[in-house]
Amino acid sequence: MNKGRLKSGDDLELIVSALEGNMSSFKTIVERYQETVAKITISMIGNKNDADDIGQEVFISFYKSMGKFKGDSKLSTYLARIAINLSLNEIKRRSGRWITTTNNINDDSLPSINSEESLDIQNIINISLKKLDPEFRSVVVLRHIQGFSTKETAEILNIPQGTVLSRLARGQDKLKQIITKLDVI
Amino acid sequence: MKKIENMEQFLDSMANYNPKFDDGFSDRIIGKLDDDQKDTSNSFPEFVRLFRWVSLSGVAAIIILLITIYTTEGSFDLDAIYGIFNFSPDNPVLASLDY
Repeated sequence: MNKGRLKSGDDLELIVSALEGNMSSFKTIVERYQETVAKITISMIGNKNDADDIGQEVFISFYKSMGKFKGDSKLSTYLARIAINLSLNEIKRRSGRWITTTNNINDDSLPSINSEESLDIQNIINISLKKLDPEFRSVVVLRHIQGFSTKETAEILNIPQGTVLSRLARGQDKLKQIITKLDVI
Repeated sequence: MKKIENMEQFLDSMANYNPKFDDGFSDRIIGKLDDDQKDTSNSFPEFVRLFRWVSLSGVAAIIILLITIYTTEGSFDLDAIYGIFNFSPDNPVLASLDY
């Protein structure tokens, strides 16, 4: 581990302590970053229970590879990369039912948002994200929901910044089509 | 009245979207890691126990084989072990093999 390049000394101390077997230090890391991981996995997967499993997998995977953490990036970015990759794997794993039921913006499977109970903005966000292709969804989630910069998003997804910007623009266009179709805008 | 005024408002709403895991998330992870560690620490003695039974079975089979050879051939000669103790060099089969 390259201690000098770590951005947060506090995170470094916790990681070193966790590597020495101190589980309460690792628990502190989990508590510190679970909100970041929750935002990404729940927004990407759409189902809270499945996202919870993926979230656990993110931290367990990090625990097992903690010694390889170089500190080149912030811990939040590092965990976000694991969360995005595991979420995309999960989406790919169940791609049969996922893509066929959600990818077509113009299909009739969009729920009608006429009743008051389903007018909740969180439902609208959830439904519209599910309708986005995973490649656009991941950019929208990282930029708009998680609030990462374009540079950080590019680093997490391992794509050029220009690609992030173009996917973001196309993703936003598709989102607009979706919420227009939902008749909430 | 529409729920969303314009796209900017929708994107602002996304920034405030803050889904959370159920309570006890960190405890569930620590519990899983503890279970994993217990499984790992238990797996080596389990391997040793299995290896002991496999090796004991092997030794028992060898002893039974040796006893059988001795009782049938009356010797532990290499020929007895090969099962050709009763063959003589003029046996046609052995002769053809240039034994």
